[in-house]
Amino acid sequence: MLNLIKYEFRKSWIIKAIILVFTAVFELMFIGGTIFNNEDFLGMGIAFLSLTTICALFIIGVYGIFRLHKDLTTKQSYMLFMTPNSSYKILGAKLIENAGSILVAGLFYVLLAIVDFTFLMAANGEIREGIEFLNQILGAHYSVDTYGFVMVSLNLIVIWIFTIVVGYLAVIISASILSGRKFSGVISFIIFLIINGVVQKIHGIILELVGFDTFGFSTGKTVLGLVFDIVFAIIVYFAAAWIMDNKLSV
Amino acid sequence: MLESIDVTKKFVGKTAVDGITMQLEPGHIYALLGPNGSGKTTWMKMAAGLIKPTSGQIRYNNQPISIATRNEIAYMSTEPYFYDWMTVGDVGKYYADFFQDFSMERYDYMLEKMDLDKKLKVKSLSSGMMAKLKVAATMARDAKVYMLDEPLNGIDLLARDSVMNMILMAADETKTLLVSSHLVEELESVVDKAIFIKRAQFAGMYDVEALRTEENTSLADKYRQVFSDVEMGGIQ
Repeated sequence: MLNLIKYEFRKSWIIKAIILVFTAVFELMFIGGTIFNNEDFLGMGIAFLSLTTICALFIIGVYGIFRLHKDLTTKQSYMLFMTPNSSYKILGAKLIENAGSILVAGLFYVLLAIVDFTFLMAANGEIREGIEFLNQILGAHYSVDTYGFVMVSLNLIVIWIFTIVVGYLAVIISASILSGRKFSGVISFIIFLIINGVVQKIHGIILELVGFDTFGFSTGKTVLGLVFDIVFAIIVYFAAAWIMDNKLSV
Repeated sequence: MLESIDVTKKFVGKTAVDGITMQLEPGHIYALLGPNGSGKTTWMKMAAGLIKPTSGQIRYNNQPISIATRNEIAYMSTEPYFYDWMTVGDVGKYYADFFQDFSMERYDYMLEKMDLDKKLKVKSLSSGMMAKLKVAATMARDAKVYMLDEPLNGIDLLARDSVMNMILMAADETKTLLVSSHLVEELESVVDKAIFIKRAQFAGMYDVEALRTEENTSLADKYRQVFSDVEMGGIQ
């Protein structure tokens, strides 16, 4: 399994290195803008860092789906399916590497945001007053505090990981069951949307049953959301690996 | 023993393998012969566990083809399949990471014999060099069954000799070797059994020596005889 994870990382490290280089450039822009009180640089640094965060998580996830598609539909598939590893292991390694990368990248950007925010506050006291003012406006449901920020971020990362797993399932269905048939790509995308839609619906129903408000932040709701997405991600993973093991021809 | 029991593989609109039943015993080198599209590659891929049969079963030592049999069966595809970012050395490391029977020493020896530099990038290799690399990686395993799909494709005469030598190096009474090729004459001196696949069906298994002594015919002539009614691609 470790070897599989190692090679999955090897396949995607260039993308990650490029993202890191962009992050470093924008971080320098941000730090320079803060230290030298250059509002243009500071603004651009913040804007580009925010954009890089979103893009990084998106690109890492989508690249994972693209890699799986390539590993199932090109001759490179032999590199995986010739080896004495089950589909559960092969898909598991992909999932651990990709989800791990998203999680690490997500936590990295959350930490970076906290560090940068603290740095900005230390450099400019007015920011703190601004946040307090913002919290007063937002009221009880929403607040800009570190704990809430981390929890909501973690929840979003897990939702994204779940979406990636559903993407894996769609690619596997396309390659295994619909292989060679007309509109297999379109059909698998529709399957992807249906699964996501159904799962979100179930999520909403459970939240209602438990009595949580659909909007706003609370620890209980976030933890429930995390557990829900992780459980469904595991179910989808087993379904996808089963299809690979029993239906996939490469 | 590798056993194919009434194996059929159907793709959309085409039957690639149609009810093939045969047995491959250890201690023999088999040639798998047939025109393009006759089903040789599909059968090999099923035996390697890469393709699932539509019906029937392939068994190795009475066990259905599975993850476990990949430890015993080494398969070399005719198409290049290594990752683009790999070097020749990386290919060896990859095999060593996944196959317990892989010998890096043997791999290095084969690379040396075939003039392949470990630092060469896989994507920069010519078709001949790629063919040699595939054979080296596969034959550096100490597997029980070797299945080589068109190992002589796209390589010059001298390289063919070294590839055939490597294949022969692996042969012993405990191992089964199966080699598919269009170059029937090239294989004739190496193999002792020949399997003919005609229009996706099993068309006979012949002992090459018996063909010579009993039927007074060569493998190439037998091939012409068996496939004389099959329309070949290209210039007739």
